[in-house]
Parts: sequence; structure tokens; C-alpha cells
Amino acid sequence: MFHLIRLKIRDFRGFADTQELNFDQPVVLLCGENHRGKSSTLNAVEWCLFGGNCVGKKTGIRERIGWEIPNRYVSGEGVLVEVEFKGPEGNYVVIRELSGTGRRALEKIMVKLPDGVVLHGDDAERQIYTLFHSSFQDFMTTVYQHQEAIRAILTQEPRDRNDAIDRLLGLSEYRELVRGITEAKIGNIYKAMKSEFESFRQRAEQSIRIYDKEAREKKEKAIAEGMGEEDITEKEALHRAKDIGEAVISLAQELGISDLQITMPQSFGEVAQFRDEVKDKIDAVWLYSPDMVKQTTLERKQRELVSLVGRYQDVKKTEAKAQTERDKFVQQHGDETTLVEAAEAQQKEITRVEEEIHKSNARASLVREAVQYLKEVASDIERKRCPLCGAKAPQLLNQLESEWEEKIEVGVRALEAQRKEQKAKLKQLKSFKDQLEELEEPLAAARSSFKECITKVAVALQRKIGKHDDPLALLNTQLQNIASELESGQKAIEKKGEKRIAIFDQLAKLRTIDEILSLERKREIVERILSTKEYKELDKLRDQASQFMEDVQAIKGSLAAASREEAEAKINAAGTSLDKYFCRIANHPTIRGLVMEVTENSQTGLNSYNIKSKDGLDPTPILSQGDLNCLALSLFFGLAETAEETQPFAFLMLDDPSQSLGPEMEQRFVSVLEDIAERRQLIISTPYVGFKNLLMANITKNKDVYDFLDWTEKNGPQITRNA
Amino acid sequence: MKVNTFQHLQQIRDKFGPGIFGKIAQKLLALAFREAGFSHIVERGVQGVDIDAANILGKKYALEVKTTDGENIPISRENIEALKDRTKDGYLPVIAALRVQMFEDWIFASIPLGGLKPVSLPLSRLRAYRLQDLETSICPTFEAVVNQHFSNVLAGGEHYLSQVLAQRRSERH
Repeated sequence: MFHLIRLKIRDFRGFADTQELNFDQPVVLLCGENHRGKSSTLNAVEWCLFGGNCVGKKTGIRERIGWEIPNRYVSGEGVLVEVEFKGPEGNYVVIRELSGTGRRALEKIMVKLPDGVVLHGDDAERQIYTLFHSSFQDFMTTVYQHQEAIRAILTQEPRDRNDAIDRLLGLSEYRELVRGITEAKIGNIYKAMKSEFESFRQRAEQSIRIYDKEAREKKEKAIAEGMGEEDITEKEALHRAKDIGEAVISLAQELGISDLQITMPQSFGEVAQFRDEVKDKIDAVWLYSPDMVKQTTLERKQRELVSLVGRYQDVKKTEAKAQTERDKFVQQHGDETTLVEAAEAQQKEITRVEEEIHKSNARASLVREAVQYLKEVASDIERKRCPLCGAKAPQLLNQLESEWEEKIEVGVRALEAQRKEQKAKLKQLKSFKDQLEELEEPLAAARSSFKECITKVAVALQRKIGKHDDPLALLNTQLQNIASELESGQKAIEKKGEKRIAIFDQLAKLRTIDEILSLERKREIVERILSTKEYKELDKLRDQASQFMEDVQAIKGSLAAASREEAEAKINAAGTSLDKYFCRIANHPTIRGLVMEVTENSQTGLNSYNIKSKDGLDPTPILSQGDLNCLALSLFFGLAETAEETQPFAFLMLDDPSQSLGPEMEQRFVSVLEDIAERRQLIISTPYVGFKNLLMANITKNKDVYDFLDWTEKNGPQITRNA
Repeated sequence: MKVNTFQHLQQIRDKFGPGIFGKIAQKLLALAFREAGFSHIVERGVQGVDIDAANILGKKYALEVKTTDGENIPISRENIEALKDRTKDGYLPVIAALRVQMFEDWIFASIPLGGLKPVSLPLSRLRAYRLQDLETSICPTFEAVVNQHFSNVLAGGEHYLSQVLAQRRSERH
């Protein structure tokens, strides 16, 4: 058995400068408020023995995820933990160091043996295992009672409690593996793969259904149209193609084309091309045969003459209309010569009137000037005599003024009215002349079109059109001749046309067969997917994936079963102790003993723990936090007691074991510890002064007390020893 | 399975319904085993495994036959017990499952009976335990049997196939 006798810590978690603690008494108490470094002291022993194995998710301890080993507040010489054990053959010193952080962290391990031999690295690790043959899980369940384990078991959440009990039993690794497999959800990946495959299968199936439906419908239609089911084969299609080819050649000969060449299809694959070729050739043969050429020419001539008839009628009508309008105008207003002469006569009259106006105006001007003179310049005497004859005329001025003005004004006004009237007449005559010119223009254009049309008719009829010829009658006669020729030509080719239509019918049937068989072939291609290498490979992969799923499930099942078996074994082994310790510490008024059972959670495959009282009832609804604390402690002590014979450590480390115990429970717990102290060295950490005092007063073995007084970033915990 | 075979099976199922179709498929499968050289065939309508098939090479299969539209087949406690029972006589217990879908074939799976519980068993699980050689031998024969007897099955149903099986049995004797 190995006793813990000395611990040296530097830069480990909350520790800074090197501190050394001696564990040379049967009971060592680590006392002090929270965050003073008590738990780190116990953790240091664990880390020194198990290094990275006690860090991270795999430990099953939530607090250990992202757990920092080096003190984050100091940059000292690096982490060092040195633990000295006293064994049967002398003292063993284990030293674990860590320098650097993150990826550059470098861990060193060293073991000094009693004979002075020093081992390093893997040799040291092997030596540790050889000496203590304990895993971290063993240590955690039978030597070091973590305060987190009690805290977790205090939860009322069944899943968390199952986690905690697994942890107490050292089965966290199984649990993590089973949970990891479950959470990997490979079943979903497999389902997705299956779904993809199914979707592909459905697409192929859909294609086949579509091809089938189309082929069936076409076949039904073909049969309804007189085709036999036996005709819808590749062989029959080839026969039919050959017959069509021969029929086309025969028709060509009848139409006067003797050198037509047709490539007969040799396989069904060539039928589609053959159909296109025959269709083109039959069209060409038909179009360029002499009969058809003649018919086409006559038809073209017919269209040309019909068009000319229409044109001739149009231009003739236009010309007649223009002529009528022009003639009617001339009749009303005279022709151009008449209008010009009338205008000239009118102009002369206007000139004459204007001259007369001019004369009248000159005379009037003279009278006006005389009146002006008499009014403004002449003396009174002169004003009363006539300036021309000198006769006395006392009212001369007034008389002249009124008499002359009346006479001249009337005359000029009459002349001006005359002139105005004549100018209006002249303007109208000019307007008539303009209108006449406007009517002459369309008449000339109509006459020109008519002449042009006559020329076209002459060209079309290939004869001269004389003055006395009626072009319309000539055109109609020619059209009658063409119609007669077309009719006789049509009768001649009608018989050949029937043959052509029969060939087209055969071609349509051939196309139907081709389409049906092509659809069936497409369906076969899709169907052949099944026998492709890729499909078979995919099918094989599905089998392998299924095998993988089964294997994973089997592994998961095995892990769960192993975990359950181990849990059962441990519970069975520790059962009596568990019951004994629970009854002693809890002293529950109604629960007179506990039985723990483990079953498999059917959904997760994980261990599920049922705690029953000895009367078979479920005690959990009436268990207090203190009772659950008792349960956790009892389980730990039970396991520790069971392992006593096999595990080599002579000490137990209890981290805050009384966290939810009431005073009476504490008292009973101390009594249990007093018994255990008979067999094992006890290292107990507690923040409770009352519990410390209880231990001091009731544990009869020698005790050492380390008080954790303070903690600073720079110096770490301030520890004093009170023996 | 080829599309034509699938379509034939579909027509049979449409005519007789899924229940009778299951029995017809079982008889067709028994015939396929017979055609594939399994001289000893016992096809049961009630009680016990659905088909015992053995050949002169010493291959002995006890088949629990299941057909489905979906992705699961029901496995009952009786099915499991019946299969276990046949192992006493040296038969390899096999679940023969056919999903009646285009592109699907029979799966012959020798799934360990120890871990098998009465459950709706996903066909995908059977894939892990496929007897590839047996499938390669029986599936094409099954197709041939279906196509050969299709018209008569459609007309005579299960009864017709019972007669054919009886006839084959008497031919052997």
C-alpha cells in the first residue's frame, strides 16, 4: 500500500511559487474558504499521477472541459507537481512538469525509485502504472471523491444523476462513447443516402412509366387504325421500309424520273434516317416531274393573268373616273383656253376702270387744293369771288366744298366698286384654271397606268393589243384556255397522286412503329440501369453502409452492455457497503436500506439507475439533498471498500464531502470517517469550520491541519500548517 | 427485377389484394427454389416457417417470406421462434423479403436471431446480412417463374400454384 507523504506544487492552477505540504499524519484536513486552493491541492495529486487523462471531456466531469493546468496569472518557471509516496520498498517520488501553453506545451514526467533509479517519459508512465495499476477512473471512484461528483448526484434530473452515478462508478468513458455514437447520428446519414437512392429509383421508375404509357397509347392508336400488333417489330419495320422504297422508285418512273436512287435501311437504327430521305425524295420527284412542272407553270400563268385582269379593271375604272370629273368641270367652267381668254378680258377691264379712277382722283385733288387755298390762304374778298372767272360768289367756298366733294366721291366710289368686282371675277377665273390643272394631273396618271397595263397584257398574251382590241376579253379567253388545260392535266396526275398519298400513309405507319419501338428501347435503356456496373457498385455500397450501421449498433450495444455489466458488478460488490453507509449517515426515518439497480435506457442505450428502498418503493421523491449527498458518499465508500483489497493506495481524498449534510448527518458522517480512518489515511478538504471542528473533536487519530487563509494572483494560496 | 416482372406482380397484387398476393409470392418463390435445383421443398400455408428448401449439395434454408410496399416488414415472435426451430434440423434461418417496387429484388438475409426482436424491421437492416449467392441464383429464376405462370396465376390464383407445386413434387417422386 502506498501512503501519500509529501506534495510539492508550483504554478499549478491557482498555485504560484513552490509550496510544499506534508501528509505524515493519518488524517490531514485542508480547511479554508472557497477559492483558496484546497481542491487544486487534491487535483495536483491526481494530475501528477494521470496527467492529460484527468483533463477534458473524457473524464465525464463537466468542470474538466477546458481545464487549465498552468496558473494563468504568473509566468514562472512552469508547472511542477511532485508527489512522494511511501511504499513497501521505500519512498517513490513522481514529478510531472509542464512548460509552455497550447500547442507548444511540453509535459515531462519523472519517477524516482527507492533505489535511486530515475525514470523518464514513457518509462516513468509505465512505472506509475506498474506500481499503482490504477486508471484515472479507478482513482476517481475509489480514492479521490470529487466534490463535483456529489454536486452532480444532488441534481434531481434523472439523466444528470445517471451521468453522476456512472462517473462515481468509473463508467464515464463508456457513457461518452455510447453517447458519442448516438449523437453522431449516423442513422441520419444512412437515411439520407437511402433517400437519395430511393429518389433515383423513383425517377427511373417514373421514366419507365412515361415511356410505357406513351408506347401503349401509340400502339393502341396504331392498332385502332388497322395496324396489327405483329407489325410493331423491328423486322416488320424493315420490311415496310423496303416496300416504301420500291414504291417511291416506281412512282418516280411513272412521273418520268428513271434515275432515282434510294438507300434501303439495313438495320432498324437506319429507319428514321430512311424516312427523312424518302420524304425529301418523294417531294422532289413529285415537284420536278414533267406533269407537275407543266401544271405548276399553268397555275403560275393563271395566277398572273387573273392578277392582270384585276389590274386592268382597276386602271380602267380610275381613268374613267378622272375623265368624267374633268369633263364635267370643263362643261361648267370652260376649258383652259376659254378661261385664259376670259381672264385676259377681265384684266383689260380692270385696267380701264383703274385709269378712270386715277383721272377722277386727279380732278378731285385739284378741287381739294382750291378749297384748301380758299380756306387758308385767300383773303375775305378773294374768298367771295370765283378764282377762275372772278365773278362774285359770296358762298363760293361752301358751294365748291359740298358740290365737288359729293360729285367726285360718288363717282370714285362707283369706279372702285366696279374694280373690286372685276378683280374678284379675275381671281375666280384663275382659280378655275388651277382646278382644271389639278384635274388634268390624275387623268394623265390614269391614262399612263392604263397604257402600261395594256403593255403588260400584250406581254402576257404575247401579242399586240390594237386600238380596237378589248384587252379584258382577250385575257378572259386566255384564262379559259388555261383552266381547261389545268383540268385535263390534273386528271392525268391524280392517279399518280393516289400512289404518292399511299406512300405517305405507309411512311406515317413506319414512323408510328419507329416511335413505339424507340420508346420501348428507351424504357429498356432505363431498365438496364439495374445491370450496370455503377448500379451494382451502389447496391454493394448500400449493403456495406447497412453492415456498418449494424456494426455500429452492435458496438454501441456491446459498450452499453459492458457498462451495464460493470455497473452491476460494482453495485453488487459495493451493495452491502452502500446500504451500510447510507443507513449510518442518512439514518432516514422511513428508508431502512437502499438497493441500487441498473437497467438499460431503451432510447439511449445508457445506464439508468434505479434506487429502491428495501421495501421495493422508489425513495427518490422523499430523498432530501442531504440524503442524496449521503447516497453519493455511500456509493464512493462502498466502491472504495470493495476496492481496498485490489487497489494500492492507502489513502482517501475527500473534497468537500459534507456539502449538503445537516448537523446530525455530519455527526454520523464523522463517525463513519472515524471508522475508515482506522484503515485508510484520510485527506479531507472542507470550507466549513463547523465540520472541521467536528472532525478535530471526533476523529481520534492524529491530525494535521492546513489552513488556506488567503489567495492572491501573484502569490497563490497562503497556507499555514497547524499540527 | 425486370420491369415486366414487376408489372406482372403488380397486376397479381391488384387483382388478389396484398394478403393473397403474399401467399402467391411465397408459392412463386417456392417454385423458383425448385427450378433453381432445390429438390426438397416444403411450402407451408400455416404454422412454422414458410418454406424449407434443401438441395443435394447440402444447402438447407428455412425461409420466412415477407412482401411489402414499404420499407419495413413485420417480424413476429412466432416468426422468430419458427426460424429458430428449424435450426435444430440444420436449416439456415433466412428472412426472404420482397419490396414490390420497380428495381427491387428479393433480399435473402441470414440475420442473427439472437438479437432479433418482434419488431417492424427495416429492409435496410437486412442488407447487412444478405446471402448474395442465393440471391444471384434465385432472383432470375423467380422472374422466369413469374413470367411463365403469370397468365395462369392471374386466372387461377393461389390454387393454381398449389397444383403446380404438387405436380412438381410428384415429378420428383
